[in-house]
Amino acid sequence: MSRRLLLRAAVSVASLWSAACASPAHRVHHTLLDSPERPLPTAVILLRPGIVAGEVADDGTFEEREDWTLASSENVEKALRNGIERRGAFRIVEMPEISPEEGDLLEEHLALFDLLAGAAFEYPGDEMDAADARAWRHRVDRFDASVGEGLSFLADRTGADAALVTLGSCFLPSGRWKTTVLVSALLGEALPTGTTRLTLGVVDLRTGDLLWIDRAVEFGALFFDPVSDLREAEDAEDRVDGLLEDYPGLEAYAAKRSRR
Amino acid sequence: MGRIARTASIALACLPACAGWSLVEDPAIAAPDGSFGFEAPVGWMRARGGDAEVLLTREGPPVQWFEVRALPADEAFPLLGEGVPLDATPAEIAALTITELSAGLDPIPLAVLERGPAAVGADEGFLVHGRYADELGVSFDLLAAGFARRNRFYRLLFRAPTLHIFDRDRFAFDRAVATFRPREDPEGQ
Repeated sequence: MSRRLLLRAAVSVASLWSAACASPAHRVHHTLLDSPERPLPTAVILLRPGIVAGEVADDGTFEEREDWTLASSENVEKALRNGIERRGAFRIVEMPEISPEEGDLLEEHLALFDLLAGAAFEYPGDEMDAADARAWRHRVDRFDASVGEGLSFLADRTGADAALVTLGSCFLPSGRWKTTVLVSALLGEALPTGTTRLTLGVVDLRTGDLLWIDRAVEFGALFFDPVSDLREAEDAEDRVDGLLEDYPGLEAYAAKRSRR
Repeated sequence: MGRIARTASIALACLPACAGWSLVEDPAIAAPDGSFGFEAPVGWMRARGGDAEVLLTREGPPVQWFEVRALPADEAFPLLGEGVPLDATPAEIAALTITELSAGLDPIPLAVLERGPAAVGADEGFLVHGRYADELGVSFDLLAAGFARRNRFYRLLFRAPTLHIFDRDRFAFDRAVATFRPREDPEGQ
């Protein structure tokens, strides 16, 4: 996965820096719920997770550490394989060899996925006032995001129905940033110590439909509530399992749709 | 080790202010002050904007963004600090619009794919089709159309990701351009 896409994941988190901790809330493509019911995918390509990890630097900006990124990505991928196998949700299909041009095409689709998934969780989102959230409610009731049909070559190549996309970031506080947070707290300003975000999505390879997406966003506070450290296998597993528990979550989502 | 900074482009500059959302249920919509009207797609979302502007999106401003504004002609290009010159042709106004948009995107370059005269409703105006990549390399297509009439400059601006979304959603822009009508002011204002 390219640096640009990894950085996008981090910047997406940056845009949420001042937000309160958001609870996981999955989205399900409306065609999986409407009659006649669309079947769930049975064979899914596990795309390499796009995780970026590093430190919250002294000035509050994010600074990537490549060794952390590598360790976090490996832990998340392992957690995904274990979690999917344990649940038997679908058969994992390995990513085939692709050309550089196909790699670029995949990157473009993943970047669009990130944009669409981010918008899905923000419109409507936890930060909206009640009236705005109500106005956007139809996007939950009839979620129809799609990246288009450009990934069908992967279905042709492998026979898979869908791809599992994983994007995320994990930024932990540097020592001096902790001091800044402490001083700010004494002055009455609450700053997060760190942040971890993980987004999963199952994308139909023929239509590009985002069949299912889920996201977890954590913000750390001083002295308590540390964020998940994806460099730690146990933390990565907990975070991934928490999201996979919502898959496919059709009944829960149908109930969410019907609550107005 | 890469340092990651928060950046903003013209296309997203309005995001923090967007609120007061409502669902478009009637395709015939107008600016709050009545300075113009056009047909918008039912099911899109409208944000509360200024008196002489209409702000629309389908899935959220980060995905597709459509804004229509009536600006005082002498303040038509605020980033350039210029207005519409007297007796300017549509081609000249298009050139100023491109410069204004480029200034808003700076340092991101705007590639102009197409520019030329175009009807905007019943008026003679211009159409510009551009493309740029955001700070992280995602390609967006941008359409701008407009015209000047008396002391007003009317501008329609639409942008969406090049991949899949732009082609799917540009009908909203095309329909708005085709149905655009400025308010007829008996006093010639």
